[in-house]
Amino acid sequence: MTNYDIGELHPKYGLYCGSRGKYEFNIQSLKGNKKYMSWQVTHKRNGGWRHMTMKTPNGNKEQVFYFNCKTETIEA
Amino acid sequence: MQIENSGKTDNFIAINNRAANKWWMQFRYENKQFINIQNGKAVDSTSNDDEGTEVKISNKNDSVQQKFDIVYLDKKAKAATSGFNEEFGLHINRPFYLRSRLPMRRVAECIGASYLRLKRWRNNTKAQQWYFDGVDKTIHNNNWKSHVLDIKSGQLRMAGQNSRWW
Repeated sequence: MTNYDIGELHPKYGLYCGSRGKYEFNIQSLKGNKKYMSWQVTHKRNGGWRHMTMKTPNGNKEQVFYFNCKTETIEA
Repeated sequence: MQIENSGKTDNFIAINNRAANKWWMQFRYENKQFINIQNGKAVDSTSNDDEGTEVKISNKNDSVQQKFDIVYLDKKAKAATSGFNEEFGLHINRPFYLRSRLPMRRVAECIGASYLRLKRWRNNTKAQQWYFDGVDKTIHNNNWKSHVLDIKSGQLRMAGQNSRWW
């Protein structure tokens, strides 16, 4: 497995490697009112299930994500 | 972010999970779409444009509802903190009163960060002052700044800001 530095573009995923506070991003729809993707707690058991929804930009952490190059996942 | 139930549904969720490097959690960003690396399906905001619409996973079809921009926070234009918002018809961050046109001309006052009541105007009472936030597009109380006007069960109340349509 190749190690990538924070700020490096991951060639397979097309996303910059980030961490909490670094290379964080919003995901904005190109459709209609150009809402942001947000997580929203829907079930409080088992640490909280968070369904992804589209919402008006609000500047809150529920709309902020980063790409973790170690786990190769987008984290909220 | 991942496809619910280990990739067996079309629901798209975020969940605390220590397991990593599983295909149902991995998406590549290509041509403004998030494509799952194994099943090739795309993240889809659906045709509905209502506030709080659930995001799903569906077959890739290159429609606009499957397309997203990534807006890195350090490159993002700062939201306006002053001026007039044409869409909402309100000045940004400029305190105002909500005054009744009934004979006593009472103003709306936030009571205990929960209720809204018409009260006699009192000079410099922040609970009677409101302002429009240019980022979240809601009307905040100037005393309980984290609380906004909100419709609950047909009543106008105060609630924590959530930027949903109500």
